[in-house]
Amino acid sequence: MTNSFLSGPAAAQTLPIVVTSPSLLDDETKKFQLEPGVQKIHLTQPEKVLFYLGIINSKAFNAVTTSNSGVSSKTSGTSATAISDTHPAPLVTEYKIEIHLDHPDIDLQLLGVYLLKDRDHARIETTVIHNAPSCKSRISVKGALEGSSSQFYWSGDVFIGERAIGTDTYEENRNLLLNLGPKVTSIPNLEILTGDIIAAGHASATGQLNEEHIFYLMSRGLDYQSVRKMVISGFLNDQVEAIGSPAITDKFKETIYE
Amino acid sequence: MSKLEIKDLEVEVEKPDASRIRILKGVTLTVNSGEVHTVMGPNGSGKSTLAYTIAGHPAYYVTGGEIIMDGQPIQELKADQRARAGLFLAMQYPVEIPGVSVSNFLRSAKSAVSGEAPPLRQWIKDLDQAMQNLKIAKEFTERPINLGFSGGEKKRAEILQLEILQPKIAVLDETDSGLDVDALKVVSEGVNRALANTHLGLLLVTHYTRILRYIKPNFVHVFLDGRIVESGGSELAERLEERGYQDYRN
Ligand SMILES: Nc1ncnc2c1ncn2[C@@H]1O[C@H](COP(=O)(O)OP(=O)(O)OP(=O)(O)O)[C@@H](O)[C@H]1O
Ligand SMILES: [Mg+2]
Repeated sequence: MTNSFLSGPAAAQTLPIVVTSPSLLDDETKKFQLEPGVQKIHLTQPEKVLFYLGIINSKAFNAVTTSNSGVSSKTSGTSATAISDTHPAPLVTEYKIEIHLDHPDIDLQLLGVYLLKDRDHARIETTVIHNAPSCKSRISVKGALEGSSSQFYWSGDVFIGERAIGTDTYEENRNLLLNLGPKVTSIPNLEILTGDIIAAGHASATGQLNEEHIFYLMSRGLDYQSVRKMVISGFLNDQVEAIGSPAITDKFKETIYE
Repeated sequence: MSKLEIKDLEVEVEKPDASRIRILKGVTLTVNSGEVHTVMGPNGSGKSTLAYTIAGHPAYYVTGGEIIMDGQPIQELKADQRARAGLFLAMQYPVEIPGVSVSNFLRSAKSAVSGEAPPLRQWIKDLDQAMQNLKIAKEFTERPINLGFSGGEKKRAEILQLEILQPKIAVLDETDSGLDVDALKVVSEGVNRALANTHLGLLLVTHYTRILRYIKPNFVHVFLDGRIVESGGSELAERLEERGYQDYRN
């Protein structure tokens, strides 16, 4: 897995999911959590579907320095297990998600949130293929990185086929760098084969903690660590709420506020 | 009784290209509890620089002089430590902070400056009352800090924080700019409540005498090119309004 991440997409296993819900009439959103790996999904019903994923390194997310905290092992010559317990291997994860909208009137949301630290690497490739008319898609991946050399990669392809008239799509990726170590690659890509669409847009932004925000909050008596947590959760709260998965919400809060 | 002493303060600011320029060139000023000091001066003379430096903004470097709060030098302290020591800055341009709600922020800040979380019921009551006094609609508490607030709403929100956090010494940097007639009155009443209830010491930076109709200054300081060039009573403000700063330029 480590190697496949570094050398780009590789032979991860394929886990096809075919969503075929019979309940065409109810207006509820169906939710599915995505697992790492390669997934090809065909949607064949006119329904509202939310796919989500969370990549959260749940170990304390409040290191301030850029120094390589993984080096200063405090083990005293015990077993190798003890060392790796103190300094767990970095999180390395990869998602390759391809979603086909094969029926008219599908409303798709694809939401991801991440928190990376140390030497964590995460890679998310999303591909959404509009094959049918009048479908809507929203793809949004947001997260924050800290640590000595964490890395995040996102590529988002949206294809709007010739038959997909009336398509409404928007994809975005927003990343918050918490220090100078981490790196982000963000590649949105839109291909449109019909002129007859409602909207197609993308946005990608990678920024740092805003010093004026930090100063404002600190000038009200809040210490740097609290302010940092406040700003990070402020940046990601909406996304976590939109995902609405208790497991991810809990893990997110635990990680930020630990 | 609290006392903020500024002695021969010299300040440089770091520009984006990392070079520095000298802005404050020796400012001396003492603000005691219960006193209102007004600072008036032309654009670019360094008033906000003084305000930010007192509050501890990291872009401003003290290269000479001292800032002393209640006998302790504070220029080495971070902004949060100064706030906990009893300082408050109402900013000329309050910052918009996405995702952080006013209520969450205010309660955390109150807990930080008072050293303990306020009991929930009392907190809700106090916040409600303070918002009513300042005619701030309830729904503002659930909005992100200052985000999309109008200019006047931002200024009112600053005074809300002043009333809630109850500092010992406050610097109000042009809180009156951009306020309509009614809002000016509401904001001034808020400041006067703080003066009466908590015996606040105030450094009021302004361009206009109209706020001084509501908030009576004990002292007026004329600020020019990084220095206080004259100090006096409220008659000085009247003269400035009439004649501008021509008397000080040569
Ligand atoms: N961060 C900064 N980078 C570069 N120049 C700065 C910075 N902060 C202040 N200055 C400069 O310092 C001078 C004083 O600015 P300051 O904001 O303190 O003035 P002011 O008296 O508050 O003016 P105003 O009445 O317009 O608010 C100005 O010339 C300004 O351009
Ligand atoms: Mg100013």
